Amino acid sequence: MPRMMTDDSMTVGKVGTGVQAFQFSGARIERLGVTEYTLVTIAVDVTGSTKGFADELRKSLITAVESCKKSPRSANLLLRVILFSGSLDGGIEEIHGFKPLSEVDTNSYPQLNPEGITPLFDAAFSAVGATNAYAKTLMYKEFNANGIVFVITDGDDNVSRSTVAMVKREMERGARGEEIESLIGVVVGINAAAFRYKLEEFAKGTGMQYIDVGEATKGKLAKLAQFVSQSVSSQSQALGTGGPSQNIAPTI
Amino acid sequence: MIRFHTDHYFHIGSAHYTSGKPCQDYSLSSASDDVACAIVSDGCSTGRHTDVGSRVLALSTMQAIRDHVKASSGVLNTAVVSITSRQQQIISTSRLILGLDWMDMLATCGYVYLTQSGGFIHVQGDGVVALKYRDGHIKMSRYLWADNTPFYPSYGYDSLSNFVKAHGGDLDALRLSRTTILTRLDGTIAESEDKEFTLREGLNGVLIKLSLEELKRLEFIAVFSDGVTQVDNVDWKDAVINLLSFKSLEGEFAKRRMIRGIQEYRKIGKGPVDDIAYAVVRIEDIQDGERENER
Repeated sequence: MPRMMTDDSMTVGKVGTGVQAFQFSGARIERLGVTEYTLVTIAVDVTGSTKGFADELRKSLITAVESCKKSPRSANLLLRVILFSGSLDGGIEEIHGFKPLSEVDTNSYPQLNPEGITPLFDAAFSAVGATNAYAKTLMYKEFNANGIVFVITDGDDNVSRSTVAMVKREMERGARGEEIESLIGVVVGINAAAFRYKLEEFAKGTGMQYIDVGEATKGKLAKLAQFVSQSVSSQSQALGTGGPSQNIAPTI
Repeated sequence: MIRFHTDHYFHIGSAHYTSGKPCQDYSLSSASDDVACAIVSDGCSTGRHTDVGSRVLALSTMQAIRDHVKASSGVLNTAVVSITSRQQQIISTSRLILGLDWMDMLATCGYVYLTQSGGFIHVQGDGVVALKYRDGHIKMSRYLWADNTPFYPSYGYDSLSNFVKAHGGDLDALRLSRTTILTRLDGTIAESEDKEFTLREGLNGVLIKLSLEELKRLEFIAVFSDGVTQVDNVDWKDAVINLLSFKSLEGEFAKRRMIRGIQEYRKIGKGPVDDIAYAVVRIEDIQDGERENER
């Protein structure tokens, strides 16, 4: 099981079964006050190959989160941030579960310490599955909910216990609109030219979208932050329409 | 000690939506440590800009309540007179300042006023009042004027005599009826009672007093516009029960319930045909020690 960081204000859930199970946390429903939420998950690759741009990647993550805080829809966003690497216990570490942005302190985000190989499918399965599971609870309690998941990676999977089919099943649950109004999954490739084909194939096979950032330069990582916050805002504005946002930019 | 939580919601009905008219219902609510209020207002369909009138009336009532609380710390025994009188002043002044016609102001008003020592519900016009007790049963009362011609608080100054004439001119005639239903926990009807009010009684608005003892037995108090009685394919009593079946209580609990309720109603019919509004007070009976611990 991945490492969890929770307190009394959070509740813990689980997706998958047996060795393919992942825990996640989310704010206790009884603490939530508005009528609708967009569940945002950012999964960040911290495998060894990201070492060269780990600091900039962290800055980009923080910039994206801080931009979301300034969105007119910020009160309607619940954010989960996870790291993934084969060196982490269970492959996934949750920096924090789904929680209101007002409670997210980006100063407490740890320095990224890249090492290990890439459990990409596990990260996607944990991210998409947790979004569906938490949304189902929200919907049952009469909140409206949709979701958007970003899986930021520089390489192809080489260690996951989850499969493409598992991720696909979770994405299809999102598309059916029974447990969550709509769900967008985005695989973001950074410094991933060598794996572009593989990542596109993964995205296609799961119903996610693939976006290639290009080289891991300061400028590109800044654009990545902008892309994340704009996509979040756009998906949140689509809440209540019954479908996903239509204007996720195809390129960065 | 009692802790109050409030929320409110209003939604356009299918008849107004399809005919391009605005929603003429409005609701407001507010809670502090000492006082809670919940207000609904329903603009007359055959009036003029009664969407504006219902808002002006609800806002005027809210301001009248604030003024009463400020002037007398919310004291209960003078509240109805003080709030009604101030409400009339504010409506009248606002109408003139905003350049509104009296036809724009034709709207009903139902409000709940609660304090730490008890409270009341004041029905000025028509609509539904519901009390949900902690043991789960609900007492609901529907107020209906003869000939579908309800009293509007804006008649208070200029048009009262015309309203009396429209009702036949006899102040002792029975022109307002109330149907009260008491439900069992399973939603079935345990008791039903009908009462009629004279025109004279109706002009003052019907007052339902709530003692502190009763408040402590209550979990929710709601005022609805008469739109709750016009949900397509749904009996008004079932609509009231349904709209008070909250699944989560934090924040915008009434908005969440009615939004989901309307989604469900639209699966079996047109949903609310008339505009619909409600305002709800949730009453939490807390121990003094518990309150101290939270400070």
